[in-house]
Amino acid sequence: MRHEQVKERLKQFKEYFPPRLQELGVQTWHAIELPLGAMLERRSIVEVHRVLYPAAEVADFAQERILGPTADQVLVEVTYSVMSPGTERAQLLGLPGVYKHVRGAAFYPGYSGAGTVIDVGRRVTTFKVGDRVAGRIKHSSRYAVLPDFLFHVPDSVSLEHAAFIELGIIVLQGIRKARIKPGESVLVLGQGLIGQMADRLARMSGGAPVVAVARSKAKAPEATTAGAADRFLTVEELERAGVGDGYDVVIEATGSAHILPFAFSLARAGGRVIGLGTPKGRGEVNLGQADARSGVTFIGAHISGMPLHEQSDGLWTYQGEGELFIDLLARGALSLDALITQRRDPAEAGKVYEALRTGDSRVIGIMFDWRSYAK
Amino acid sequence: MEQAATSPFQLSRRWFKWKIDFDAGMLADSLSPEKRLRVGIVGGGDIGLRNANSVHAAPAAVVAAVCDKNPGVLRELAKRFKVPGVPEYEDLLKRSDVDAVILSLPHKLHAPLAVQAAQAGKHVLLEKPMGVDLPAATEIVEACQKAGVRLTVNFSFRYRPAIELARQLIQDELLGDICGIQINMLMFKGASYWAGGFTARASGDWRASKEQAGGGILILQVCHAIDFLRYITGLEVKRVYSEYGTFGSPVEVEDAIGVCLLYDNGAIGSITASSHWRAERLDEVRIWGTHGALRIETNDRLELWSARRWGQLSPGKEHHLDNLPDIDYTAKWIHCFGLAIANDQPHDITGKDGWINNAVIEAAYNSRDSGRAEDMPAYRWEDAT
Repeated sequence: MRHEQVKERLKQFKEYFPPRLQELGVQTWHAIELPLGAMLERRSIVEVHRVLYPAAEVADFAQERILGPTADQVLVEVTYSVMSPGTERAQLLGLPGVYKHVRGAAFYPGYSGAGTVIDVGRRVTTFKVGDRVAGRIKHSSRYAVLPDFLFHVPDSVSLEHAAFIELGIIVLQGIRKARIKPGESVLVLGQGLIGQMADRLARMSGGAPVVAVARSKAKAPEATTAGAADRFLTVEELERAGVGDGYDVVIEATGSAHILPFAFSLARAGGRVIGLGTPKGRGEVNLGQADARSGVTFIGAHISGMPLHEQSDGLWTYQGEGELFIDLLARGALSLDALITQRRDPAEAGKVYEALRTGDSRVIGIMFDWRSYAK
Repeated sequence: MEQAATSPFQLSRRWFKWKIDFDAGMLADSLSPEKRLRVGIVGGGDIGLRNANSVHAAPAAVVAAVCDKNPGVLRELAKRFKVPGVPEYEDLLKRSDVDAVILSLPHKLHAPLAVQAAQAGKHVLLEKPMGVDLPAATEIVEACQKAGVRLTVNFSFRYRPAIELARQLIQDELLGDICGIQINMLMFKGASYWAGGFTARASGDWRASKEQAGGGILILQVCHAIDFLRYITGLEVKRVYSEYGTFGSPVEVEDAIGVCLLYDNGAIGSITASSHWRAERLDEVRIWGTHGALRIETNDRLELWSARRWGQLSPGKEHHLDNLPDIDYTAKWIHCFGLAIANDQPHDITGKDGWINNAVIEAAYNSRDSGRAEDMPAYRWEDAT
């Protein structure tokens, strides 16, 4: 039977039952769905508070009961999670190519956080209860995650800083692909979380000078703290001053592909343009222009392009980058304090994401503090 | 266990509690008998009888006497409430055991009788609309101000749980900034209504007359929605454009009207109303804003969609709030008025509310005649009566 026919049959079937009875059926299903799943899959039931998008352009904070970790997962009591404004805004709005909202199905945002292990599946050997960890964690008071996406955090590193891990990995793999050599000039377009971290890691790689560029002056103080960019320019200032022969490396960190043609115009002949993170939308490059003819290389640097396990020579894995990030924090080589511009109770998610939806440009890093939701 | 979706069970408990609070609020304020507002009932037609019942039901008020030109109606009312029946209005106003009068009469009589009551020092409760037109409303406001008596108009829809709840939702910013308001009021009023009202208990065909009634569906029914929308949203109408006509009814007044409104915050409103809609009655208001939308069915049912959470009502979903308590909102209006007088506090629905209502309606009627949009006049009297 075709799908439409099945749907039509179900509809006819439903009409035999009065709404009250249908409601009762739905309620009964809601009541048994979870215990049934837990029994069949031999998993626990955990109570979580979490941020969700119930529909396009709507964010909520709710308490829910969900299935606990599988035999291969680690359950983390989350202490902090970091909001990644560009990606989470695109998901909230359901921008093309990022996420499509489906009626009746909620989306759970977030992908970078830190906390403590409170339960491990029976096949997990690398983590134990009580371990301090950071990894690919959603905005949730408790979150079950595969050990592949989790990292040990030493006592010398605060969980608040470790919570930036996934963003750190995104930027590290991008910077690595840029192959910055000592003394190469680097221009970072966009000064959100990704751009700000790129300033710091480009400088660490030997980039000199590192120039941070954004639309407005608002993020200049954070961009030019010790260890970050040498100079900050607004787009207007940059256009007025000109770029001379151009920059060796241009890092596109705005998350918008419209900027790519502009990025190409800033690179020197034979320079590199790095598309860091998730450039959304389309950018059109005029190949007839001199700058596009003179051997500029574009390097896509999305996190999905990196290997998870295999580690042959010169190829950095997800695990390798994550461990490096924690190591940089432990050695004090990377300072993230300036990037935490707001600490928020996740219960305020509605308001936080409403501001994000309207595109509040002052937002750099929003840290959700989950401590009051710990059991 | 708190689910993301609101179960009907949770909702009904919530509204049940709400109903208890609502009724308790009404009863907790009951007065000692000597402080109750003694109300003279003027007019005993369909609405007059309903208003008399509501005065009787209101804990802060009591039926003191009744007055109607029709001897049969007068006898019936006097017997019903066991109070004196007074055939002449002047005699009713002379009585010292009457503090206030409630006028449920053809619209044309509102102004002269209200002015007379004010001059006699009686508080005035008027059936809506306040005046047959704006000059009449002005006359009433000025007379009551001059005499120092209280004035209120039966815009008691404000006390309907659905309306109170809608106001609360908007105050809690569930809709964000209001962008639009739509009133749809489609019903059938046939020849019998125009000839004798709902039951013809006090037969009269004044409703069909422009001079007696001031207008048709707009002034008769839509006036409620115009008022409660001011109450719910806090917005004032700034400009009005209208077209109307009489198509299927044996009357002078309009039986179909379309109005376009501009509110003071820039929101855009529209009214579509007809008393010659032969299909099932439709009586609804839609309000939408930057963050949500609300549909109010005047038979006390709300549909809410908001991007913002409200207690257990999760955002991003349509919520049907339909088991609202059924209360005697007219009694609540009279009760609150009596209570405000007894406690020497300002009352809820004032002459200003009545006057502004008349002004919107007048602007709509004038607009069709002038062929252009009419700006709303300003309310000039600062002391609310």
